[in-house]
Formats: sequence, structure tokens, C-alpha cells
Amino acid sequence: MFPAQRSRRARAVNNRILVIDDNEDFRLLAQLALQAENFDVSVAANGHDGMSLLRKRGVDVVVTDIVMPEQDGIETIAQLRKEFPAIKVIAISGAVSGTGFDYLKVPVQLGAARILRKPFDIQELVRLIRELAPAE
Amino acid sequence: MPEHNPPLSDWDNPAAQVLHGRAGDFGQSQRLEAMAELSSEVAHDVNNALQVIKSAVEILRRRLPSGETDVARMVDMLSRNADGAASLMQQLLGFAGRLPLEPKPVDVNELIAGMAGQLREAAGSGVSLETALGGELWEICVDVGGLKTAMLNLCANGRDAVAHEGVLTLETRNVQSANSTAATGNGPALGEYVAITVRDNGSGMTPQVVAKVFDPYFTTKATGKGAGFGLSQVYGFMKQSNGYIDIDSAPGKGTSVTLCFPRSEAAGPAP
Repeated sequence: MFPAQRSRRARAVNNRILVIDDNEDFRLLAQLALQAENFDVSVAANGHDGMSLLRKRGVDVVVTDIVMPEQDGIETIAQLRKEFPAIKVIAISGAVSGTGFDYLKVPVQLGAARILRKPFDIQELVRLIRELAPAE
Repeated sequence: MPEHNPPLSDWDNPAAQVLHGRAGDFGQSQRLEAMAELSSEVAHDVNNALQVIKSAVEILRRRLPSGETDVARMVDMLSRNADGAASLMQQLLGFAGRLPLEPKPVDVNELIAGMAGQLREAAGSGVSLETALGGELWEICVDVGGLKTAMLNLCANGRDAVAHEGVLTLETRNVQSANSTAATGNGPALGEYVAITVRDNGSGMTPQVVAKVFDPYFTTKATGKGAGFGLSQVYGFMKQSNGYIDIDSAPGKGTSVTLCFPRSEAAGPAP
């Protein structure tokens, strides 16, 4: 491993990541993939549970789906910006644009730092988190 | 093109606003709109399923012990097929008019001049590609990538229709919409459009074929020569771009496909 790569990886160790997605399989896979990269990962099935978890323990980066039951990603990002403005948000969605509406444009307007359209490469998610996660 | 305007009732249907001329049959419009709606409804669930498959495949690949060549090959198969399915979803979303677009002011003549090589290649060897670009062409506001893809699709279709030694003509001009229903808010707004026509002197199409040309998977080409998504994507793109399509075709008389885009809000010819 080159020194620059080692340094980049070391900075990401133990960054706390919260993944909010109503798809149980994706939650498990995201957790496995991110834990393999030494992130400290917690998961929630909807925005409401995610916000409850956030209030108990802080995180550095939130990865949130947009279309979810209980509380969707749009409302969650809006709450995040208000309560925890320092937390970086990555919005992910498999939903598609409608006429005059793009499910991933609204999160950007609300302050999401990055967006990913499903299906994406899980390593792309890792890369974005590394970009956004603060140095330890 | 006033003689090609569909009946008033068609303008109640969003898809009918996209289709003009012989392509503007009301039943066809309803059918296309139903297919487009279904495609976009299905997309969310399919994309989520593909996300799980792609993520699991990637994790499996990283955990695979070295020497497991048969298993590695199967993982590659899964990955390749998941990517193929994702690409198919993109094509269906293109047809449904649900792709993210970034409209920008475009001088169509300039764009065509800049992609002369690509258009020439799409027309193929042995087919003559002629251009008749109108002067003082108005500016339009459209997604550049989408417009390029649409024009290349039309040229490729024209090439296949004329086979060898045919002629493809690419024309641009300013047109006035003669749609008298604009006052009701239905149909393309009464006013000014930029028309891009791809005309071929090939075999032409029967009305029955014209009625299906925008259907996903519909193709008259030999197996392996076309998946049947080219015109479906053009249809979705025109719907998303607030434009409309006019098709004029008859067996033995060639085909003209015209894409009409509303003149940009910023008035005046392109600089």
C-alpha cells in the first residue's frame, strides 16, 4: 500500500456512519461493506428510527434512502439540517424522476452533500464516505 | 403541419401531446402512456432489487478465496447480468420520460456541425448524408446528450431503412405550431418550434408499423440489429422536453421523422 493510501484509510477508521433504508437486505449489505472498511456502522429502517438513534449517539455521515415508509428521506434530511447541521448526508434512491420532480434534486436543495442513484457500486459509497468523513 | 394535428380529444392525454401525424393515434397514445407509467412504477422496486444484488456480488467477490475459479466466474456472470438489467431499466426509464435531464440553451445547427463525424458514422458507409440547415434558427433549451442520442437514433434507423446507396437528409427549420387548442392549455403551445427532420428514401412503413414504432422492444430489424429501444427513448425524451414528434411514412416512399422543440424563452436567433 502506498503511503498516501495508508494515510487516507487511517483517517476513516472509526468514523461513525448511519445507514437509513427500508430494505433490510441492503441495510445488512451496506453494514458488511462499510464495517469491512473499518467504519462504525449503525442502521435504521426509516427516518423516524434514524433520527431517534442520532439523538442518542452522534454520527459523522448519514446515508439515507429517499422513498421510505414512516418518515421519508426528504423529511429526514430537513430535520437533520435543522438539528445536526454538521452531519454530512449522502442521499440514495432507486426512485425515478417524474415530470418536474427529481427525487435526488430535492435532497441536494436541502443540503445533502452527495447523491447516488440506485443501483450503484457499493465501493462508490465507500469512496464518498471517505471524502466526507472528518479526519479522526 | 396543421393537417397532421390529432383530434381535440387527444390533447387530454399527455402522450398525445408528444405524438403528431400518423403517429398520433389516440389508442396508441393511451397504450404508450400506460406502458410508460408501468415502467416508471416498476423501476423503483427493480432498482432496489438490483442494488441488493450488485452489493452482495461485490462483497462476495472481495471475500472469495483465491483459486475458486468456477465460483469467481459465476460471480462475474451475476455482476454482468445485474449491470445488463440496470442498463435495461435505464432504457425503460428513457421511454417513460423519467431520466434526469439538464436542459441548456442549444443552437441546433451548431450542435449538428459539431457532431458531423458521429452522424456520418451512424448513417453508415454507402449511405449519402445530406444536410439542409435552416438559417436564423431559433435557440432551444434542451438536454444536449439526449438530443444527440435522439438524432443518432434517427440516423441509424434511416440507415437501416435505406440499406446501401440510399440518401439520408437532416433538415432544421423554424416552424409555427398551428394547434388551435393551445388556449385550453392542452397540446403543444401555439407558437414557435425548432424542427429537426431526418428523412430517408428507404422502404417506408405501413400505418400498422408506424402505430407501434415507439413501443419498447418493437423492431422490424433482423435479430441482433436492434433491441427496439431507439424510438422508445426518442419518445420519452420528446415528452420530457415538452416537444412533439411527427412521422410521415408510406411503403416505398421513405420516412420522415420530425422532432419539434419549443423555441427557448430567450427570444432571438441563436448567436
